Amino acid sequence: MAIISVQDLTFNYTESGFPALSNVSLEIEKGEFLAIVGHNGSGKSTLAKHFNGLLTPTSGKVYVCGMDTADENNSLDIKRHVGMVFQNPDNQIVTTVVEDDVAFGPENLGVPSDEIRKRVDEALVSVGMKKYAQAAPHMLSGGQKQRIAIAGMLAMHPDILVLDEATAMLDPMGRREITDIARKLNKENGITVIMITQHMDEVTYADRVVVMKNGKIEFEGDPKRVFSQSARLTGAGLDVPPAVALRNKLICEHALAPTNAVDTEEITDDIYREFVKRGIV
Amino acid sequence: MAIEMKNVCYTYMDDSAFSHAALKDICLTVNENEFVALIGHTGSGKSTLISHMNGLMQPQSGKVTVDGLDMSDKLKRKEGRTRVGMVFQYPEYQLFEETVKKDIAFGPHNMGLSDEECDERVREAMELVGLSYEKFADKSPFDLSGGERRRAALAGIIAMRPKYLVLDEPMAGLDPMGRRRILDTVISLRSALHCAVVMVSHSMDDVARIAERVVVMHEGSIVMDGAVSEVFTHTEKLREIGLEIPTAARIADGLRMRGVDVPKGICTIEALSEYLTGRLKKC
Repeated sequence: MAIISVQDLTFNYTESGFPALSNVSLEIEKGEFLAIVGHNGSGKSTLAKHFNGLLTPTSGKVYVCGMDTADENNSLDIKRHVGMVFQNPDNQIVTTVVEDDVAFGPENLGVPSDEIRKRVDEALVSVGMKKYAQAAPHMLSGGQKQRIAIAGMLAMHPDILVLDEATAMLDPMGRREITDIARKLNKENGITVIMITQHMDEVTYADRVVVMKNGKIEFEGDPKRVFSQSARLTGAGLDVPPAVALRNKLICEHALAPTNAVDTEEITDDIYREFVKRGIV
Repeated sequence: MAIEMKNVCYTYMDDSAFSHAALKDICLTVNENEFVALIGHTGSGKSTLISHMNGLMQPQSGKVTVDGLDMSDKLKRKEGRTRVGMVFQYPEYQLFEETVKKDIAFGPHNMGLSDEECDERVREAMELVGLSYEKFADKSPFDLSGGERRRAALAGIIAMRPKYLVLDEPMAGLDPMGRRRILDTVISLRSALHCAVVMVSHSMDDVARIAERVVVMHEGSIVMDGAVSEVFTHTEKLREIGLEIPTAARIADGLRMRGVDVPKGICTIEALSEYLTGRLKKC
């Protein structure tokens, strides 16, 4: 059974306005690394806020771990299963000491204090921030603050981690810190990761990419399939990563045999093989 | 004529336990008409540096002049400031007027221009950033989309016709289409206004594509300064200080490591694609 099931979801922020989401259906499997991409205003963040019941459907249904998000009795339970990290690192930190911040979630869940201690330590280790346990959050970099926000979620032992443009305000180094941690949590801890982003290079290692356009799912598939349709991506206000753009150009010029590689290293390899094949090196 | 920074130093919370030297003996000249990209990771001093360019911050030691105007002098600073247009990160959060038109006219009004002149400036600026005057002038800035709001904020600076346009991460937070549009706007602004551009950016691919000169900051100092193709040749050094390399330079590096002799200085996808096509198609 899917861990999140979205069924014919439509959502309006205002009664009269244009729907932010219309007739979206999506099944997310346990253990999946899913990326959701889309232009500004495509509805991707609105969709993300349905995954933990922050928003509930105007029509249609969303089930998280089998629970209907529209049923208020499920609200707390759902939030326990789904950890969310948002865009602005400065808006998510509530205390003045890192480890207190990480403990905030489990404290509110009524977890016994020795168990909290254990969870906080584990969470800080998984995001590589153990040595900052006693630090003041405002002295940390953006990437470090986002890692603390993720640790705060992990301490609640969620099954699902939703990163809602969590890398948008970070520099390349901070972005890499967060994507590396997301991959690790997915591979090693089996946490289902849903990553909402505008950076196309961050989705190359997702299991599946969902492309949103004007409140609808435009198309989806694994990264190789999605990036092979550059015209469709451009039509959705997106683009392919630069390495894929180079790949496409070379293929188009018959300077490279067709390949569906999307990773920069893989593409470099393919180009190198072409040099070997043509006897240049 | 230029923005000149001579031996500029600035330390935050000096004399305290949190004292942090953000700028250490900075010497930098930005010439008229140049397109300079300022790169460096978070905390390297980029924003502190550009805040000195229009006198928003005053150096604790050293000197900043704009076209010879000493920015530490209150009167001269006022004049200098009209020549250096600053667009901060997420400038759309600074829109405050009732209408787009009024917001854009705020700067020119403060410069003492007449209503007619202001209106002319507003029209010109809106056209330059690609916002239709008829459609947007009387709208509330809050009814605009994120990308449109950013354009409106940019127009507010353009309306002062700066000689030097300083942009702090103008593409941050925009989707790929929005990023491309802002970049194209910056390129066309520069040729229309004949102004110099100083752009802080984390996107090395964009920097490689549109800048002429790159200044690299690290821990409050300028560690590299040169032409784009020159700076991006030093991939090892850039990696050492934790910076990204343009994708094209990374692929070219990878090919070199595998034994293909790609010439130095290729750092855009266009140039690399042209080169590779030429090499591969000969055979």
